[in-house]
Amino acid sequence: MLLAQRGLSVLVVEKDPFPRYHVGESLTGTGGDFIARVGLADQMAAFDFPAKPGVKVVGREGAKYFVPVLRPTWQVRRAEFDNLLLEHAMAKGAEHVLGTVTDVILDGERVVGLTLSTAAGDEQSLRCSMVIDASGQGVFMSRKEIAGPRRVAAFSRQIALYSQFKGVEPDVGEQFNSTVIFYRDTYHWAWLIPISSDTVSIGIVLPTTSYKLRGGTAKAAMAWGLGHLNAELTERTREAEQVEDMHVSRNYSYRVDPFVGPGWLCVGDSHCFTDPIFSFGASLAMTEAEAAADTVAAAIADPSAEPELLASYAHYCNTGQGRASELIRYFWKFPAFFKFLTQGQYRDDLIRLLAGDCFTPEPLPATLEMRANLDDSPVLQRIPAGRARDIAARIYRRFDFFQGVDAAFLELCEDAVMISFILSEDDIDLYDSLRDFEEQLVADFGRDDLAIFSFTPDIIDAMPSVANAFPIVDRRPAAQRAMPQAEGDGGGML
Amino acid sequence: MNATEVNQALEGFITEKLLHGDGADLTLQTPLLEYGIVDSLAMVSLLTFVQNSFGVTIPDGEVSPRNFKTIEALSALIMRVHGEASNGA
Repeated sequence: MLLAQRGLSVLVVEKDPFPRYHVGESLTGTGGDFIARVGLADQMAAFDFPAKPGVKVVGREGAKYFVPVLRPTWQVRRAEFDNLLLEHAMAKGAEHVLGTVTDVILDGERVVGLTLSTAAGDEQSLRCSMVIDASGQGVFMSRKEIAGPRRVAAFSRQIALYSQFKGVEPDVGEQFNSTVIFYRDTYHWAWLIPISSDTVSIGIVLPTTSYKLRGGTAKAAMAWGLGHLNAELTERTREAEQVEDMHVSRNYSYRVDPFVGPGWLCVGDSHCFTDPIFSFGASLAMTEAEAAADTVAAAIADPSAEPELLASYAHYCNTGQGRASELIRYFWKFPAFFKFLTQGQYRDDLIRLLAGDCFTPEPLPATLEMRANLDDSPVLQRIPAGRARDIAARIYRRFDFFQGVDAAFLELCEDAVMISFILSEDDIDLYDSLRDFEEQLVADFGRDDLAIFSFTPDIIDAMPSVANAFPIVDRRPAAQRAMPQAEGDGGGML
Repeated sequence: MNATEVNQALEGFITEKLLHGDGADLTLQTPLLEYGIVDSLAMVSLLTFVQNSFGVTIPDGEVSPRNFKTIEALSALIMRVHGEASNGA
């Protein structure tokens, strides 16, 4: 719609007929802004979409806090909301075709069009000035090896189970129709999002290891989540009736890079998806879409400026997604501190960040504060500054939340750096993710003088002593790990 | 109240209440958060302990991982907040 209203000729290819179910029902403040800017606010009123007052967080010990929205926004049923966007785009002049894009057409390095098979059974080739990949988690351009590979990111190895329910007790007062986040231990959480006057979306998110322990089926895990994840959730869903199919997503956190190139760019989930805890998905995609529309229109007007425009678009997206990701990482790493961050001098910044206002040219002070805390670890400071500490910092950032890696150690032998990972289980997905990360490490730090070993429970006895190594992450139970060394005890290595 | 007293009091509280007496390896630089010694529940009791023992209320904006990462860091925070309160009085 953003391109069509500028007078450009736009074709929207959708695989599924609208309206169709889609998860991601909560919009943030910037999502509300987008709707107002494109002139859809009045039409939103015709739907029974709840106005969203904010986000309520309910912790394990019943600790609760509430963060209001920055600007008016909605909780939506995506089937109807997405259809509204599509109809609006068509009203602005975009053409819509039902079909599956099968491939891209290349002219040298440049993407110059698409081939598609339409729902009517036709095979078509289309030429265009620019292809926008908005395929979401289908990551079309990455699958076609036009964009970079889909790399799993931190917060991976989780399973989300979600559906819609009636008969759930609502919040009352100013928090009526809020998004509610219930969390238990790291990575065990649930969302509750009212999406009409009588229906709520509920999702249960668990680490894959925990999912297996709960019976390994979506139904069993949902039942466990509703019954045990949080007392308030259990109480409010006592009379709940499921009214939509159960949906499951797994291992869903990833990044694609590069995600722009000659004649094409990616928007939203087609290049980046992070832990959905703060409902950033749809709103960040809308912010990126506006930037993408500006980029595409400017590149068509002045093709010689395209490389620069695309690089600037990529930087803009990485800035926003990066800040959102830091906020999420801080929440999981320091849940108790997050609450205080929403109450002290950074409250206004937190309201802005949770609204999705993550794309400002300069980071907000709260982002700088979170970043300083995330990077300022006594564990890293023990490692001699330089390449070894840089490698450790990369591992630390990645693995403090990586399910399946229980511990990581760094040992220095002369100039060589030796990394040992202790894995919690023998699992093919885990190997793939770890190999992916090792490739990134080697690409960034060089293969020379860098050795990486992994030990699964069955071969842990063969692991050399880590008495002289620096622990980077160690989440093993106390009985299994050596007591932390005091500062300077690194001894012979220093 | 001086830094040594604050350090000792914190070491005593953490050993007794959070490590259940097993504080033989606890030093001023032990990573309290990294090693899971201070979690959300423990932090609430630590804040209460600081309030009751030293009469110091840590402002919300100072309740940050950097200030709670080690006994040394927390002790420095307590001395600073205490000093600011005394100067302001």
